[in-house]
Amino acid sequence: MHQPLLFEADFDYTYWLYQASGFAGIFVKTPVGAWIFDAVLGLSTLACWLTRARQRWLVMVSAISWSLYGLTYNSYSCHHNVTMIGIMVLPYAFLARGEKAFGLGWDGFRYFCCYAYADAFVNKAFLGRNIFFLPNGSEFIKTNQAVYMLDHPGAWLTGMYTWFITHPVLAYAGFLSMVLLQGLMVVGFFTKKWDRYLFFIPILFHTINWIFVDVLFYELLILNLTLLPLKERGAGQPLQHAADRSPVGGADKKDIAQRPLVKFSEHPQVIAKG
Amino acid sequence: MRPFFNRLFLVRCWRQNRVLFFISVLFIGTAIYGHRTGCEITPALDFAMYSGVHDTKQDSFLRLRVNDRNLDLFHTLDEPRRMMIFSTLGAYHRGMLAGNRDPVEPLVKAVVAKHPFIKPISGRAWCQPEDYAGYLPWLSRYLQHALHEDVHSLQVSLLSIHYNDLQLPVADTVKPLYTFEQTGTK
Repeated sequence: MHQPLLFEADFDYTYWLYQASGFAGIFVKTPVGAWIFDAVLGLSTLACWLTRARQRWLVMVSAISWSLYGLTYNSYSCHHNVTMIGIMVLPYAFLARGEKAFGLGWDGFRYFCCYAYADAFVNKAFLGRNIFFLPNGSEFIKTNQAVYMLDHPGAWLTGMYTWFITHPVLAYAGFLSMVLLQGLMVVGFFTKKWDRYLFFIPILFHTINWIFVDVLFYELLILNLTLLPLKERGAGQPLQHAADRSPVGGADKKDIAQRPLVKFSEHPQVIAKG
Repeated sequence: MRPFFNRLFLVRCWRQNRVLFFISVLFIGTAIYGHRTGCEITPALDFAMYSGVHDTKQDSFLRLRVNDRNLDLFHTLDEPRRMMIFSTLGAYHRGMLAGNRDPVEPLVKAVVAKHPFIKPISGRAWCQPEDYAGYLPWLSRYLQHALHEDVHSLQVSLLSIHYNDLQLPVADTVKPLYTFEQTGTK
């Protein structure tokens, strides 16, 4: 970053806290500090890989470093790129003690992944209500590609953008499809059985966004990892595909079954039998 | 109904991991607060980009010429570097338009006046005039690193355009804004 000067804290209290902490004064604005921070970030991450995240203090150092990295980049690029949020939060999942706690935490991040797209859908469909505005389809293409079109009048991409802009209904249909793709991620809140399909939605969504509005959000795809089947090995049990189970409901039932009988005696049927 | 209740994430958290339960509740609370007030608390983000209603007729864009040629970073896979260049340039221009000060400053002060409890963390929430003074030399250094070439001159201009009846962009004027000459560059 070469000791950047301008930053943007926006109206985000986390960024205000980041600036107030003085971290940037030491680890961003001085070359030695920046080298130290880079070294801690790189080495702690490498160490986590090598030790398979068994050392919790290393995981903590790495996770905090990635959070600070995201805060630093977003602050000094003067734009709060939401695409950084995955790498800022996901490492904390590996702080969990034991497979069960990890599974629960990983589930939480899976919901966070679904939330990112579902919230974008809710914003467009219900809060901003812009999916009901037909010119929006060509609007996002023309305002994001205007300079490219002027600079590259003969490019095939310019031809494609021109075609969509001059066919606003088709551009709107494309925009609507994108919003509905985001809306499909709501399914992830109710079942895991569709995760293998939901996995491809963000990839498709960001690729089309990149082509049409020149916004590359691929970093956010790290959250897609949470949609991959998480295999667990119980004691003496074969590997089980996560999608074949109910959303950890099975484990809950097992927990309940393993509870002391006194808990069950409170159940009306048990009392009736007694 | 009971099996459904047992499967809820928050219920499982309450039973298995209270810390995670409180983090989740805190996340939900801050997300709602961010949506209602516009004051976010990362990581409970409000994913509201591209949710506005617009039908733009006129527009303007900052153009950057490096060593007397336009900087062309369209459709790059190197989005982070592009952001560091053009997004900071936009912030610099907004600061210049506001009289060499961060236009966010009065807005932050207004929010703090309404919510005094956030005053302790608001003191460094905006750029200082000296940050703007050093920006163009920094941009030159950064471009030198990003483009892997010596940078001896920068010209920033404002391209004004309008959209014609077919909604296609038409260039109107190019207004020179800022220049920076690197002295001592080989």
